[in-house]
Amino acid sequence: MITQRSFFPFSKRMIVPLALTLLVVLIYPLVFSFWVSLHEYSLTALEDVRFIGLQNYIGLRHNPSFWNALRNTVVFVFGAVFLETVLGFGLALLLHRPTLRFRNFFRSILLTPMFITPIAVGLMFRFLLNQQLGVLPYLLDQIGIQVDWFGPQLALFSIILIDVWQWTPFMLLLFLAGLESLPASPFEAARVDGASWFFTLRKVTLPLMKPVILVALIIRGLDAFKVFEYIYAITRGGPGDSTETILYYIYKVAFRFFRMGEAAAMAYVLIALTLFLVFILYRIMSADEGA
Amino acid sequence: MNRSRHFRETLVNGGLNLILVIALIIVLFPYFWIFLTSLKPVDLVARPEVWIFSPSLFNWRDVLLNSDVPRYLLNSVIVALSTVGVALVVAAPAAYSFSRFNTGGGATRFSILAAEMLPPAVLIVPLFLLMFRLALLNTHLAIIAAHLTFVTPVITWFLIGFFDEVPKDLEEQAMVDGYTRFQAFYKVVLPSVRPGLAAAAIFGFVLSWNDMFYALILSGGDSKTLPVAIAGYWTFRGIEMGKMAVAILVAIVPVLLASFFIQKYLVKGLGGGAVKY
Amino acid sequence: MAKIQLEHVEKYFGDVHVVKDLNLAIEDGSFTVLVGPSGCGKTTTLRLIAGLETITSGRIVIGDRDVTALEPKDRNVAMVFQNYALYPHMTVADNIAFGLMARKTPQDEIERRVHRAASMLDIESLLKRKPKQLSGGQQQRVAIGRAIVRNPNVFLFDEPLSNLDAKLRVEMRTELLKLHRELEATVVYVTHDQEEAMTMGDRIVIMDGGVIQQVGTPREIYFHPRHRFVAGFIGSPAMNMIEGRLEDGEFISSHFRIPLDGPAFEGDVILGIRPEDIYLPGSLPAERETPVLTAKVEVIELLGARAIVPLLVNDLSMRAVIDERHLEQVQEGGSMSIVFDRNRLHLFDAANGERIE
Ligand SMILES: Nc1ncnc2c1ncn2[C@@H]1O[C@H](COP(=O)(O)OP(=O)(O)OP(=O)(O)O)[C@@H](O)[C@H]1O
Ligand SMILES: [Mg+2]
Repeated sequence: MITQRSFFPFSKRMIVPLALTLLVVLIYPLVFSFWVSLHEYSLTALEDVRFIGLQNYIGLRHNPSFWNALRNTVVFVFGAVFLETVLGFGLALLLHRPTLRFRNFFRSILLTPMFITPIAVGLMFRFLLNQQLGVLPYLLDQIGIQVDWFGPQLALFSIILIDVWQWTPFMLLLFLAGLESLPASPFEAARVDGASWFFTLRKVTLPLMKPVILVALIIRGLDAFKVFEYIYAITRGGPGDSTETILYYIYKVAFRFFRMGEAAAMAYVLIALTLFLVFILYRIMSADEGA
Repeated sequence: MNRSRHFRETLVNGGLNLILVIALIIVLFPYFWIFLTSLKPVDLVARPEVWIFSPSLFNWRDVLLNSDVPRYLLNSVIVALSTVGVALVVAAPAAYSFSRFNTGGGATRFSILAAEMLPPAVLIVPLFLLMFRLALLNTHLAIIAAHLTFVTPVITWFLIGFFDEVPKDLEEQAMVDGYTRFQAFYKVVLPSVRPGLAAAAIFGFVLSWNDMFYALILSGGDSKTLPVAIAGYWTFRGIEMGKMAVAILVAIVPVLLASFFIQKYLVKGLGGGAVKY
Repeated sequence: MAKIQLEHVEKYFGDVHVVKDLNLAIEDGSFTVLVGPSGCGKTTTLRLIAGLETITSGRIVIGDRDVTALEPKDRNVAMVFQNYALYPHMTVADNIAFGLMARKTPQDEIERRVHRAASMLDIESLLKRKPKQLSGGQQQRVAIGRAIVRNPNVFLFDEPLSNLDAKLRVEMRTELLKLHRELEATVVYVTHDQEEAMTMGDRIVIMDGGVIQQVGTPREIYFHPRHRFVAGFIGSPAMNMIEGRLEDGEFISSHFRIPLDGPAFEGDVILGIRPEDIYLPGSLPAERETPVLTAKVEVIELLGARAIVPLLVNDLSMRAVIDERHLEQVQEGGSMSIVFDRNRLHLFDAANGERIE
């Protein structure tokens, strides 16, 4: 009894179900995936699975589609997350004003997009922005503006805007909560001390909000790397391959071309890349934290 | 002087409120337009210049009564409920353990978050091959397993934040009163985080409900979930637009309603006790 | 450096009437203490002066300027908050310099003034640290440094010492007073600690329920409380309050009677007598002694040179403060004779609590 306790205490027994579940649905696939990435593993030739070492990884170096998808994804992530951060912060400041009436109403409505299934968002905007059927091109046309939202020039940018529509609310949610939990007195002290609105924002609000901003950037940034539904709903990577993102490309390689080994290798590169970016971000944000 | 300052303040405030109203319109307009489209008679669906017309329930009737959308809706409900059910059962004790005993040290919390953030691309290949081998493709089970990969970590993460706020005295009192550790957890601690459990369950439900990527690859035919079915309207024949609008509304309205209940708890949950603002 | 005038100041939070027709003139260079029970509106009054709350109606004048409609930054006041309100991400030097930087003061001037303030407060060695690395007392000094560096017309303090331990609190009191003399500034100081109010203020404003009950020097407040509330609030242990009637110049209660000369008042009154104005017979000049009463001694709470002695005088509970030298005549459970000091009796109208002279 006593030994059983010390070897296997209550605290560990409590995590057994979770550990088992994650082992089956998460760890095993992760390991299996890595194993697959070291093989020539095609769904069309399952009897002919061959170990090829790092060939799948090395092959990526000369795969222009992979690099194109990577570039598109990085542009997308940086563009979208940047806009979402700025807009989210601005809206949070607007909602945080003590004079604002109906704050809860504004907040509840403004947060809604983040709860909707992205495929619906994609289709909604495809419809709204469609050249012939869409209401937005129609309205713009009335004032003499013609934009081809999903043409080769703008398609990626339009996808970014759609992401901004859906995910700025997430930033707003975190930033607003952050602002609300800041102590009031430093801001009152700043008011008495004669600091202007902008000076207070720069010297007090932003530094105090840094931890929240960091967490928001990491969560949203990592999430943005997974962009898939908008592409699937709207452009399927086109025109050309101008909106092909990494997850969409992996999907294509795995489930259109059935080259599982190559897809698994790309997925691992994606993990490495995201971890690297998180690390960089973390270093930048905590750089002047010293002392 | 008082007057002019007052005037300027009113002006600035009005301007800032105007920005909020514009943001509100940007958020609401797509819903509005989809709703409008769902009520348009077939011949008007493809005509963006028409805003006023006599509404027709044709699309609604067609989608709800004569299509497979209700079946896909049911699939989504089954998958989301099962996923959340399993996730809650395995996540709650673990989250409690992480929160109370810091089991596994600080690394645990980070790994939970990392699991939550894992790109689905890494898991989809092996999950697909696994389900293929087990002949489970196109079943609910395959999608539930896939959804567990992200719903379980999210719910664990969520609940850690709520357990962190339960005072230790509570369960110690219960143990002094003669409960075992597990009874204390089950009968005293769990009920005291009921709002957190509810919020986590709803949030997990929404995540599962909204997923299309896994469902697209692992399901087909009769086992499709609603998002996959919606994606099927991709063909974009003008005539389909009204039905697509209905299907979209069916998929998003329940989630929007749920969102109003959990918004309040979302921040604490997302913070997972890692971010003390 | 500037007087402050509050004229018919009213403040509502929604429907809650927090400050009621406040009229107060604070003299240039004075150290004025606002004191009163929790929730009486002290902080609100201070924040109204600072401009952090807008007044519902009335007028506030600082110096010769009507500041009623001005932003806090245009009032040239400095405020020290109860929780210090230091910026956690800035060094002590930057915290102190914040107000100057906000006003775009030249860098060399900022440095000069920060160092002068720091040396006045003896925190020069801490300038490079962050607030988290400071003790409570040191944080308090930084907060004060942030106020003095700006050379404001008026200093506003909201319970600045309440987060410090007892010893430090007493030390800081002295330092603040010294600082006040050096700076010759007008100080408005909020506290709910009546002892702090008595020792620090050269003028004390006693508030209750959003209304000023009395303004005066510590002596006036202590010896001539204008209202029953003030009498009960100031002094420790609290004044004994005895309900009774005045008839033909005699105080009559169900417990005892005391003939008084003076007041022409007739009717229900409250007789106030401070515990320290209760004596053993013979220790006062005879003409100041009231008739001897017999009291039962319940316990003796020795404080050192003095003792608090709870008494029962014909079922009436009272407290007396007795000099340690007289204690041998007193025994727990025994009885003793007491007299009151005639010159220190306070009479209040039972109907409205106002003092009867
Ligand atoms: N922002 C506000 N909204 C509504 N009521 C308020 C607000 N601020 C203060 N009050 C109310 O006004 C009254 C006076 O508050 P105030 O903070 O001035 O009291 P105080 O005298 O400083 O008390 P304490 O000694 O506890 O600090 C209280 O009843 C309080 O509840
Ligand atoms: Mg106060």
